[in-house]
Amino acid sequence: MQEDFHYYATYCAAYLSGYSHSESLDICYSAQFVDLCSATYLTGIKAPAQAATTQLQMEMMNTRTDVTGLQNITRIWAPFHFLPRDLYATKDKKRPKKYMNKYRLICGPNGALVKDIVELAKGKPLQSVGIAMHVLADTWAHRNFAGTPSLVINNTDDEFYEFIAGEDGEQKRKIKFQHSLSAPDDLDKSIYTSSLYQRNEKNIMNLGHGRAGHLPDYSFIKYMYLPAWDDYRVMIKDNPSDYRHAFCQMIYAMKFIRGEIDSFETDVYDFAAIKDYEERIDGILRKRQLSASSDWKAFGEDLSGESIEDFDVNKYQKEYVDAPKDEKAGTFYGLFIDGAIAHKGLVCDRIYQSGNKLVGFVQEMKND
Amino acid sequence: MSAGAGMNSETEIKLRRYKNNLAIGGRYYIIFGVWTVVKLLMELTMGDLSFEYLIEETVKSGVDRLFAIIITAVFIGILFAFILIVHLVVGRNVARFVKRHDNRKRFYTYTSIVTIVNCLGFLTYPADIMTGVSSLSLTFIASLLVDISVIFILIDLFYSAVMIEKLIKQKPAVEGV
Repeated sequence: MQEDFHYYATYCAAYLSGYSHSESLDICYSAQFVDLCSATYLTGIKAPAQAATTQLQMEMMNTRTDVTGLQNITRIWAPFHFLPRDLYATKDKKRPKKYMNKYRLICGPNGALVKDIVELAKGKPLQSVGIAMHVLADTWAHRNFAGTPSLVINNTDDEFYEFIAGEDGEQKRKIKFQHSLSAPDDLDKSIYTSSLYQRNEKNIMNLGHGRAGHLPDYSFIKYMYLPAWDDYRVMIKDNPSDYRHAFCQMIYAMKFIRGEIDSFETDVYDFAAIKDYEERIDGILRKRQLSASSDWKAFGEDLSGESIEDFDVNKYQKEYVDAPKDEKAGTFYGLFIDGAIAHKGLVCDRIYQSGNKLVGFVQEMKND
Repeated sequence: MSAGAGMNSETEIKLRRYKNNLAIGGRYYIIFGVWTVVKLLMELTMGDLSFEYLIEETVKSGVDRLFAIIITAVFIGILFAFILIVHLVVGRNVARFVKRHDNRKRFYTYTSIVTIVNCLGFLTYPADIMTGVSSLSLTFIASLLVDISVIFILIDLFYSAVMIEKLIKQKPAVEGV
């Protein structure tokens, strides 16, 4: 997912769940900031780098893929962008533990960890709510890929097909991948950018959905491919449907966090909340475009009657930098950092407790 | 999130698996061609059957030295090109069989010929040991293992191709296509 969903759509979901305009802005800012809060950024404002929620391309290029390097990568990508669906998943055929550890990190919606992270955000500042919403939404977009570099899990073959809706129903069109980062995706010709094939199991190119390019990040696309981990089974990924579920699950989750609902259960969606906007939301989700930001922004502004400012990564930077040391924790970034560390601690602890050492030795810190 | 009806049937899954086997085998065979050329090149530069030895042998037959050098180089060049072309043709035929399945005869003919040649070539190993031409050195064992794996790959090519044809024949009956 990208800024259109993590910022603007999250604003809409927050507003629909009952938050005010300014609260919704704080939530969606935090949700989008998860994609930008790198160790480089944090070091630049003298904040703890351990709160990093993403890695820049340059940072990843400099990361060694030895055991410690891989653990550092996994500790960021698995909790914040590829939340594992089932840490105790099994396969029909017996596989080595090394394989199973990676297999169990495959991301997907409605896992036990989704419930854990939403419950963790309850009673916490809005920054934590934003972090949880980012992660929840990504479980839908990034499903079937793992937040650890692995060829045997994240690789795909070249047989990608896109389903294009037409007058005679859906037409299958072959997707062509290019590997130039500077070239934009060509939606008319179904030419998309993806990471290069690398034979090395732990190569950084084999992290997450790199091999499938940005396909998981576009709400409009419905495509078919062969994931490496699923024993030659074809997968059809229906993003418009998945994104709709993500949107309605966010509304439901935020209603729970606000105290409107007593308990949060997985596989429950607040479809009723979007009943009056169904057509408009469906139109935004299915529109073939590289970014749906302007459409979501217009929808959000119509909902609240307020103007939604564009995302500015440095919006709260000055506040944090200028704050005295003992007051930094109370600033916007201070609260975000606390939320990020708590979130990372919880997810990594669960992974470690499951007997999976891909995040290293972790113990969750429990605050009163 | 599910695939369309029949797309993930047992037959389709097996078909993809065998096609993948074939594709990998075909690529391996092309790489093996490059390896064979590299092995020969090493033999000619560092082995007993060196480039100089071949030139000397040609000179002994009474030809001019410069001519001997040229004829040896041309002969080696042709040999290398032949090896690479044979492997490339076989490998590409395998790839075509996987994708289009319209070169059945050529696929089986070419693959049969290279399998027989490789099996015959394999017989030279025990012969070399018995006649004392080679000893059980690490190079000998490495070369032996590579040749065993090539024969294994070629047999797997046949097996996968036969299985693919069987599954394609089964498809209409099984899935009512």
